[in-house]
Amino acid sequence: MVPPLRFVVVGRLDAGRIAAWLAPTWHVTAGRAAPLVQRYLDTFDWALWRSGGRLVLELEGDQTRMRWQPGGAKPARTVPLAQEVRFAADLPGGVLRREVAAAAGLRALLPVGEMRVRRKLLRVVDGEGKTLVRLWLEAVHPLLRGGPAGPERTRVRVEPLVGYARAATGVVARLQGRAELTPDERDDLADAAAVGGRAPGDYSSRVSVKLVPDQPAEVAVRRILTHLFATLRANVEGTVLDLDSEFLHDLRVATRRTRTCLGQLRGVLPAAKVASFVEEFRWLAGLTTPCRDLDVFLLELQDRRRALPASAAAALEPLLAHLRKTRAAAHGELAEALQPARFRGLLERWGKLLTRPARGGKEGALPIVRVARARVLRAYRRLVRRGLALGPEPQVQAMHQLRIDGKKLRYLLEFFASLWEAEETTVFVGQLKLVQDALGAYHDAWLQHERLVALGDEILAAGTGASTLLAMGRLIADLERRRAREAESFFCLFADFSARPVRARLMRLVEYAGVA
Amino acid sequence: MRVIAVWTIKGGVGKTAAAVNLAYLSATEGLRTLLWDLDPQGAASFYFRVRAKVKGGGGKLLRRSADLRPLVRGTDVENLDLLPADFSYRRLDLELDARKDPEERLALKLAPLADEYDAVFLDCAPSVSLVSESVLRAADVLLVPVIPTTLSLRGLEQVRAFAAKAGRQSLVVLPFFSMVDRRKTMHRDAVELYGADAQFLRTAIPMASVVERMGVRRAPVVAYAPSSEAARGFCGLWAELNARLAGGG
Repeated sequence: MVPPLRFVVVGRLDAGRIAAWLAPTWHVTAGRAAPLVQRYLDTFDWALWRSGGRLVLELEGDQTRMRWQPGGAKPARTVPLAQEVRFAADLPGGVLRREVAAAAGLRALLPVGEMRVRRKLLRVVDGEGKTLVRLWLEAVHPLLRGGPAGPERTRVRVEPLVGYARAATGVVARLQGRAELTPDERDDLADAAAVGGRAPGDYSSRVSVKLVPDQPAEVAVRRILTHLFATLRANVEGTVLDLDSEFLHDLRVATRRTRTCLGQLRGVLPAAKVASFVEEFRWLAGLTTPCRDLDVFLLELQDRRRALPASAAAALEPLLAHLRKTRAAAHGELAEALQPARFRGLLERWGKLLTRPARGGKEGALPIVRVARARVLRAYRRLVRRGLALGPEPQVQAMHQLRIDGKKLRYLLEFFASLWEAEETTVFVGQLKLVQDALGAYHDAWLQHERLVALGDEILAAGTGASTLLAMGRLIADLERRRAREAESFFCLFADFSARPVRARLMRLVEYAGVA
Repeated sequence: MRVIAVWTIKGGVGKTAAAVNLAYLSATEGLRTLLWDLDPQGAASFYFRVRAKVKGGGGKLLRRSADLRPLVRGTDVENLDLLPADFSYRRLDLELDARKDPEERLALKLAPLADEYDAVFLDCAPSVSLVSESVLRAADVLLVPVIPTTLSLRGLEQVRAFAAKAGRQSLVVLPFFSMVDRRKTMHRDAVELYGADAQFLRTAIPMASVVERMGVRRAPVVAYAPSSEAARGFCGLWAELNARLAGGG
């Protein structure tokens, strides 16, 4: 068992008392420590917390530093900061940035809570004066809008140094069992977040709805839609404020999933009640498309630029600047549209419909497992039928339709995942995802190709140099090649996906609950 | 991970002082830094108050299967770890010679640490040996402290020739003047003469008693006397090194 490294102080405790506990085996000297504010940062979907890490911006006097405590037994990494950090890419280069970037991906690093820490440092040293263990006697107080919130807690924290584990174990042994100390199992991140009404892991874009196979379909679908509604609402503010590109992505996916739920599960909810919402959610999805398409394009171009030598990268800059400007305008229009009456009205009416008890549609009383099975198989058959009907040189529109069909099937599988055997579902979704990825890459390549061709005149009119036009020409040629490559890859993957073994896997999967 | 070796043929030229101070500056800048004390005298270990002892000695450490991580010690400086010296390192040459690919051995030992550290400083003993060859094969940068005297400058030419033969093709060799006493005509002349040598770093580390006090304070001079001329010299050297490696300066 791992010994506790933090103890809550019960009553009063001073540094002298701790030193007396450790004597004569351990010599303790006072170290320098100033009070500080610790601002916990994480992505909106808690990617750092999920990785086991904690990222803390520490404000101590006029010094600012970032502290990253990775998961596992690795030591903390700290880096002094001279500039504001919004994304992992803004951090100074090194191990810390690499590890944070690997966990956070494209997401912004947002404050999730703050703590004020008043502390004393006690260094446990050997005969040479070398620190073996750091002991912190600290009073921590969560902050809300800069002011203290909730009770202050005093504790002793043991910080082992790399290579001196035995000393740390010895020190902990001396502290354990003292009447003034009890093991502290609280999580500072959770405490700091709680005062602002948040909790680690309180948001994920994944669909996670626990359904019961024989519950009425209407009840199950209402639960799914309620979950999707919460996801959609959670992403509105971040989208409007443009905190990072993934708020819009998640808002879009929640909208698409809602549309799939309404479209693919027709007959479960009362048709008359949901009819108007089908149109409204289509409007919402359309609203988000221009900005998202530009996000995807920009992210890809930025990736591509990073891989280029400096001169070639510079040639792309005017194009990127143009796209950023267009994207800013698209975002402005989207943010404006997400405020007025139509959108707010949609949210309000939809929220009411989901919470108000109502009679279901004609299939609303059937067990959900039966409805799920039928709709998933139908979506799969449609996908396979349309895929097999494609010629060797398919139309872009036909490929796009297939991509939409694939998404519908995938969303249905996600909605009903709790009804089926988890591993089988994961394997099947994995196979579907491969097909979808190829279709997605194909479509993006086409879309970006068309956009670049259309942009040529605009870029020329803006007085951009020939090097940018040449770089665009190279990009266009790359995208053409990529589209051909992705089409080829799609046909290979789809041949497997539509073959008997995958079909048999799906049949086994949907029969698993065995209720119908 | 960038590996920076501080080495020259001649002893007593400020190798360890440079390695210790630069490693400290690297760590305080936020880079995860490892200082490997390869000198059996263990001066770098002494400066950081770490016991110069490696369990199993140099022979065990060089085994292909041996992991360096359990031997690493955290210093009192955040982000700075130290791989201590051991008196058995005096026989490291023989240990290397008894193994396959002795020149590649140190690089092989460091490779698993690439995800853990941004910078590794190798504080090497002053000799030309199989250990030096292995250091040059592991290093991306070779910092050569040079006292502006005839013997030391002659030593530099030997280092350059040896590095060209034994080092990696991409090895960047950067000499700098160390322990410069501006009162001495010979020192002033040598610094001026080598001003035209593009390889030389411009920053010179002065001869100063504050550096010698590292042994008493047991800390880098940049930590206990940050405004001293010597500390400013190390800071300048670190900044220049970074600029040079980034393609500027």
